[in-house]
Amino acid sequence: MMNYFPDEVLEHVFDFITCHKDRNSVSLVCKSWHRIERYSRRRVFIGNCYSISPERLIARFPGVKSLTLKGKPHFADFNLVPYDWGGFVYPWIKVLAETGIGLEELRLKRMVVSDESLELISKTFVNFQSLVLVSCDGFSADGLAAIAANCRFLRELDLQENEVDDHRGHWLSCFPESCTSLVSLNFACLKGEVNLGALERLVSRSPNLKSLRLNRSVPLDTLQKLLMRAPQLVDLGIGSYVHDPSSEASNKLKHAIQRCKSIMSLSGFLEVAPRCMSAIYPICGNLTTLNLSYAPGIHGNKLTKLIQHCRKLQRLWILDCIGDKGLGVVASTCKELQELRVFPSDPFGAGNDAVTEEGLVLVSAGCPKLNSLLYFCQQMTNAALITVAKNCPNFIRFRLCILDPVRPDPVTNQPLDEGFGAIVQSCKRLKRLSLSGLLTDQVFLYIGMYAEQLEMLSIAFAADSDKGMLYVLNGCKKLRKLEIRDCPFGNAALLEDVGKYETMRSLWMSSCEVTLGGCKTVAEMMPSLNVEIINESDQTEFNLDDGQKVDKMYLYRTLVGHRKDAPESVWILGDLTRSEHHEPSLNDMIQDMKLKNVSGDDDFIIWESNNFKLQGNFSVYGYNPFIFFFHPVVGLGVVASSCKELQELRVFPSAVFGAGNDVVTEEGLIRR
Amino acid sequence: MEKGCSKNVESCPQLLDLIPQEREWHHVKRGDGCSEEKKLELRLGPPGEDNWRDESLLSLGYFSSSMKGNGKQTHEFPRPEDHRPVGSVLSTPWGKNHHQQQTKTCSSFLQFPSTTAPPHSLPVMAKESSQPCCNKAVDLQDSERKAFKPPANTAVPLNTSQKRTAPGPVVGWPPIRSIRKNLASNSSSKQASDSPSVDPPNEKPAAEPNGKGQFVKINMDGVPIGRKVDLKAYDSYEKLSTAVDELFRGLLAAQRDSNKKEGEKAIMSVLIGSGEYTLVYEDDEGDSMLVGDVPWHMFVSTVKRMRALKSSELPALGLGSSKQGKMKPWNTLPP
Repeated sequence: MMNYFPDEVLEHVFDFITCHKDRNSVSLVCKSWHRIERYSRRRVFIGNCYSISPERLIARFPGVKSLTLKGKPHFADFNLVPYDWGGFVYPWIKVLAETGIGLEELRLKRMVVSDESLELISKTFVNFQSLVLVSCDGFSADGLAAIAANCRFLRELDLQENEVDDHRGHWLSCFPESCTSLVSLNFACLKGEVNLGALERLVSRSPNLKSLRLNRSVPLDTLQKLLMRAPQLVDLGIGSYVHDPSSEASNKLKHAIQRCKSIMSLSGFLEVAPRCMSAIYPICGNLTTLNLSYAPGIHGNKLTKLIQHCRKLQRLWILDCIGDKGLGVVASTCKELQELRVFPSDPFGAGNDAVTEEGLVLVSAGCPKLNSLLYFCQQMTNAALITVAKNCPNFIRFRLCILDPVRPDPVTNQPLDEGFGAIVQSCKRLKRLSLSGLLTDQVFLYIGMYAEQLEMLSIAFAADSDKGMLYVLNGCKKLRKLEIRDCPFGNAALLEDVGKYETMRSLWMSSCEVTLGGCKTVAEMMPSLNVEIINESDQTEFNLDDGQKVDKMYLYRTLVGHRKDAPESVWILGDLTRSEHHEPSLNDMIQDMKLKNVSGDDDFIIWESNNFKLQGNFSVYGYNPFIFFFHPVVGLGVVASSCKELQELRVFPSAVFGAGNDVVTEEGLIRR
Repeated sequence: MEKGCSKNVESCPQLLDLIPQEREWHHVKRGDGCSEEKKLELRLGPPGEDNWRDESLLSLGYFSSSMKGNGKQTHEFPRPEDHRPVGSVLSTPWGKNHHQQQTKTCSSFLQFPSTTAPPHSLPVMAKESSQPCCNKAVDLQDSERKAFKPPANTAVPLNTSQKRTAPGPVVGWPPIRSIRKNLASNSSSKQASDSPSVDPPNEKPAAEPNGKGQFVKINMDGVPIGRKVDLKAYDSYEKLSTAVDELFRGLLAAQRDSNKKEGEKAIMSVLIGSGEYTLVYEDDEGDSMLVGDVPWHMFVSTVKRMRALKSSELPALGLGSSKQGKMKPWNTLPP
């Protein structure tokens, strides 16, 4: 009973499977699928760059063309992580370059990217096409110049919210005349000036350009010229938008804008004079994405008038100066709205213009498709949250930030437990949740009970005791990332179930009650975790007493042991002599197998399936409706001969199998 | 009247009754509103002590082991009880102080910055503690609390590598990226100049709120931690240079000596004046300029950030690239 299809056929079938989780599952089916899948994998996603090494990545996926890497923990966005914590991309580029990988796409988030890395990329990977950097730092315009100059087939250069030293801004001029392949160019986050003439010429010779996001330094007349040259744009980020509506320049701009009938996404307005917004009304009707969150200059009537033109909006990012009334306009206009983000325009100030629970309720009532929310507000009530939960049961992401972190319901003075409880109970698909306001352990009980799909949870200034954290760890089976700050969770919670952390990508705890001793215990019990203590205070003061409370702890699962690039302020606990594990072959590992809970959904452990370590249940299931024959018997044979500790075996049929197809035959069972 | 949150609760506030009559809560009416609401009612036991032992209520496995005998409560999170006026100054949690506090104290916020917001009364915890829906008995904490003053005045980001006893904004709160933090202040100058003229007004240097001090970042070669200096506090280059000396003297000393002797012995007392370091700055056009060329007021209006370079390394400026993995000078600090 062999596999009837030659490898190429299976490979072709696998091409249709693009989601990395699905590919992970496919690779677990049997040895030959594992082999075929790994050679045919082109895109790899690594959620934590320290969980695996570039060498092992390449050993498993020698054909990788597109790599996504994430570095620093999420709270680095809010200055909670030292600048030199880590997340360097250079070692990855170096190894990829040395092993002759034909890298074409690189997406990095919260990583340190040096100019050397960019130069190496540009000179090594001949077919390099796409560079997306989000919240990265460490590079300057020189690195960008190298990319521009050397990547002959560059399609995409997308810089989002990076810290770039671009005081020498000649990188744009480095695109050679022969470069005509650009599809996406986003340099909105750069602070310096660019060569406007070079920009115009570049746009002129890029007929495929669909996305262009300018920075603040690009003035209006250049914008107008660019639009005249690129009426095919789909996504536009305006830099400077200051003009006199009655001027000739303004008329020309209006004309240029009107020619751009394909624009569906609009952002920027980094400098804006609100009287001029009427010029863009003609394109508002097509917009599906509008990001005005960097434009505090647009508010009040001008803002609401603008929004009233945007009937097709699906994603809206704005500042809270829109006010509750403005959100009412959104609710009545944008019936297709799916994602709303309301940022604080004045985070430390009086917030007179800010939004409250009323605005949110209005939007929830008017926009039934709403599924993603990030909402900074002055206050929130349980009643409002309950109403929102009823109106919008489809939330996938719900992030609420009340600017006063422990503010109770102002009407009842109660904590917001019931309100958030209603959200998790109603929104069965909730994957990401951020809490704020006054919260007790109760809300975590609700989360543990109801938030079955929850993957990421952010907690700050909440809870009364360890129970809170325990409810979550025990209840949320799909939890991948947990980040906690300023909560009274201590060692009891941390140590209750350390095995859980291996099923997660990472855990962050800062200003909690965990002690050095507690963290050490985790490190000793779980060699597959890196437990990092970040201590930014004067080191002579932080004594090594186990009872000392830890300011910041960050732990994450890894297959490659302690990282070698941690700065002085970061201590990695555990056996310091532990070195990188030698990667066993699939054969070795199967011989060695113990069975543990591995479900097909678990992204990481399956992805790096060399670390099976299974005990208890071994679930195998066929997946894809294109697959007509599935022979787990082969796999079962292997399992039977090796897994003497096997207690339970579940084999699930795939959807396509009817009565006639034998998934598991007696043969397999008898062997067992 | 609908049932309460759970059968055990005497006086749990009716969630739906919280909706005041005069407000129209726009909630989508479905077919049978009544059963919908019932479905959404959270039928859980209240967090009263005794109910935790009811294992049939909760299927969470760990309960049987850890929650008996009142559970392991290593910590009782303090409730903000007393009112403290906004603006009271307490020591910060960072560094040494944090670890020395008694274990029961965690950061609790009495009243977070909203000086001009309507005076919502602080949570009256006595009332809360009698309601089972809320928390267990309140442990009144007399110990240190932290109240955080609205940082409207200072706006200096808390540098956790230094011990500070002055209060400051909570680091990392609200959770927004630094890029977003100063939008309003930057824009106020724009709005004021929303005039037919196309000339952009002078950008605010160093992105600090208006009128309260002009803080610019300053880094020194060889010192990974930068400082911020308030240019409004000085009126001449000499004073500035002295101030910069003092700012970095301590840091340089700490770096150069492992044992703490007086910094002055290890380094020259005047860094800038003696010529060992040279001050440069980045102006609003992004160019690196030598400090001292233009009149002071012109300097102040165009400076964005500053740097003290080792004079011996001046010729190497702008050439070559930084070491692998190391930050470029302007990026030594997170924003």
